[in-house]
Amino acid sequence: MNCQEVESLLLQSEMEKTPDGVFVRFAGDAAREVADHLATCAACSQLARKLRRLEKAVRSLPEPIGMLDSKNAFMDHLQNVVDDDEAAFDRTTDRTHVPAFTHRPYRRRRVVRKTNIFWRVADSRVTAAALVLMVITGSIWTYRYREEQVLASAQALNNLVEWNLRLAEHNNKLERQRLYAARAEAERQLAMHAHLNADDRRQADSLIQSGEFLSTNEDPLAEADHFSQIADVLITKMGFIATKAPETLARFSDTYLRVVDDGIHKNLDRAEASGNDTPDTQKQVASIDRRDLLLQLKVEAILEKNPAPSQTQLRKALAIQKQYTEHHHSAIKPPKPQPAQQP
Amino acid sequence: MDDSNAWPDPESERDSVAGKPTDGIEPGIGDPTQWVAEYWDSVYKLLYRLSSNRHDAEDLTQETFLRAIERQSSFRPGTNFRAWLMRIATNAFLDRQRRKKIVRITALPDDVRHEAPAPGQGLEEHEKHRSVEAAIAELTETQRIIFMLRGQEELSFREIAQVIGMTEETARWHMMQARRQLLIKLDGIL
Repeated sequence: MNCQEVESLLLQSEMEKTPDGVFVRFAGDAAREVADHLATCAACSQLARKLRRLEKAVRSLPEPIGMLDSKNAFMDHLQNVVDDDEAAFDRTTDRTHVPAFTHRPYRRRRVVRKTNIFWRVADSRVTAAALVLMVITGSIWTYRYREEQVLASAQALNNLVEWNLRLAEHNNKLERQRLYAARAEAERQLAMHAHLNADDRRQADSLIQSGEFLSTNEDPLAEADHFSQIADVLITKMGFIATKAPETLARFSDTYLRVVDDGIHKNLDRAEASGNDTPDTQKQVASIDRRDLLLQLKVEAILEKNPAPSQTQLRKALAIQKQYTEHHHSAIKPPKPQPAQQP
Repeated sequence: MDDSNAWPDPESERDSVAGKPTDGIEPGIGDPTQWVAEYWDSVYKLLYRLSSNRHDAEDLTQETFLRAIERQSSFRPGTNFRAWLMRIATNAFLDRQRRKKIVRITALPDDVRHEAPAPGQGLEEHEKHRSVEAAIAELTETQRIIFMLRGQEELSFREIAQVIGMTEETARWHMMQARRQLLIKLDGIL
């Protein structure tokens, strides 16, 4: 076992407290292999010690304030409810049934019966049914209207993402600036007139500002980071529309693939090729990789709910991401499935 | 005792790995006051760490037990009652989060968290606890839930996965991220 594997196992282990200290539980033969590695590796041993100290610190946290008082108060309340309702105790079967706490005392209102024609009609069942139907229809209409608004909002954001991608396509800085100058105001106007909710409005403003950033940026890592965050926004939108509008999902998937391929991974390759390998760039890459891993999980969740063959672009994006993770940063990938443990 | 060199024998560890036994209390047979007596502290601590807020912790703990009492018929005898209760608690917390529509938890302005050290507790120890609590509060929601269910409640990853509704592998991955972040934040403090 190498250090990365041991680190991964340690960080995912089940730690237990025993009278002798905190121990780590691993599955199968991993315990022996880890123990062998720790016997010879100072760095991993130190990690193991730190983890134990962390676990001990968490388990020795003081009792939070208010715990005992709230417990006593609730116990008293519970006891009062039980005492007030003798029927709660079924002595014949020795089982205690506590009445649901939704049975709360209520005040009876004095009902004044109206005798004129209006109240007679209002009392009729047909009128009641018509009212119910109106409410249901109104609710459905409101829901559908809101759904359409959300889809339109998502579409507006997608357009802005595509604009960002078009800007980033050009390696020539002057060309990017020319494109930005030609189009920025139009995109701003379109976003202003789109029906966006507060969150989407913020996203739209951010995408317009990032157009300016892309028009002058020459750092591929910063660009990869930018598109990584955009990918997160896109995938969140796609999660909503996956079951609502499959045809719109296809277009989003196309944009998502381009974001992942051109926006993130080609820029990461360019950054790697530049040879700029400082601790700061390593941190940035690690952050992008972690986000990428989360994106993979979200894409898998969408494909699970919507496995239609039309999701080709999403599958291609996922394949690119998984391939990158496999080859570049195997230390942070999710663990392989462990053999099933007997309870 | 310094356990820095204490590693369990793999054989005995394997023998000791057993599924979580049931806690012996089955709803409908015991008085719900027994559940409160036995589990209130655990549930409260979990919700306090999740919400970082005494008021929310109290409300949510009450809500958890009320829901448990109302839904006791949904508990399958022979399974882990503690895990079932933790699931209700976690769902109550997440439901409240959705209602609040906030991403990060912030303490209420009047929620005094900086209480004085307990009698017998050194200042250094007190500061360490505060740092640990602050670091845990900065984790993401999911990481915090998993970390506390494992670290405080000692649920297995399989149980945690069932509580939250994800795969065991994903639960372990989130735990890895949580521990990594905590170790970075608490470097030099632990």
